[in-house]
Amino acid sequence: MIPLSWYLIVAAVLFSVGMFGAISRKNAIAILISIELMLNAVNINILAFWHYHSQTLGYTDLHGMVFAAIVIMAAAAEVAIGLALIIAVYRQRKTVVASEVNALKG
Amino acid sequence: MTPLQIVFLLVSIVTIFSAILVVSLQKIFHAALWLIVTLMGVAILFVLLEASFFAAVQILVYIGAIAIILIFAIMLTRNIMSDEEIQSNRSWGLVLLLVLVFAVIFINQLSQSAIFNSILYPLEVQGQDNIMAFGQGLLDPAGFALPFELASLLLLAALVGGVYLAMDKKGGEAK
Repeated sequence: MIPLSWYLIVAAVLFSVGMFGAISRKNAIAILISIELMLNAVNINILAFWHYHSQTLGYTDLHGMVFAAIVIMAAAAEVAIGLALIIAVYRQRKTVVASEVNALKG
Repeated sequence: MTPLQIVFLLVSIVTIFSAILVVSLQKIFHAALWLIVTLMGVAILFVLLEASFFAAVQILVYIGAIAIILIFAIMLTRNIMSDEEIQSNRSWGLVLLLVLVFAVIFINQLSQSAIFNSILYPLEVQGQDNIMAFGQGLLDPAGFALPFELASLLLLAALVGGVYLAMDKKGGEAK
């Protein structure tokens, strides 16, 4: 008996907090952590709409669940590749600060 | 106020509070530990949404795998960026202002929606039928078998790519 709007507002606030971290942090690993927060907020939204849609349909809607599963899977792949990149950069340049990785700067 | 609503409010307050700590703490290791609290809160929100499968997946994949490899990466790179250093950009105040404006516009736009004020009732589907339908849909050729197989392909590519990127090429087959 929880209104749909509560979930949407919590997800919007969580997304904004994650966006603040992703833009303002210097450490590349902290940026990845903030992106995880944003992906979690998106998943709350997807599953809240899935619940709403299933309750109006009267049976389980599969599209929403598959969408949420794909988001979780993409997040796992993104973290694995992102951390591998950060470790590789750390080996070569001895830094994890995103703004110091500027080999392509003109 | 029903008991469920009180649980929801408590969980969401803890989740958002720990999320704010995640993005603002000076010590990056502590931020990663608070991330686990946030992920746990999101898992409880999934339980309240009756998506029990996703609550379990959230705990297994996010807390069990993603948070752990994030902590590993932090410990591997810790001596480079000391905890006393300032962890945010010079322009973090401007970013905070922009994000606040974004949040206000976002929630305002959401509240224009026709279904914004609708109430979520418990689903009529009994027991674990949700998960049964989900599993059958994922293996149904007319349903979601193709995205399911593509997901496994993407995870395999991420695995191989991660090993290749993190491999020490100069050392070769060092021990």
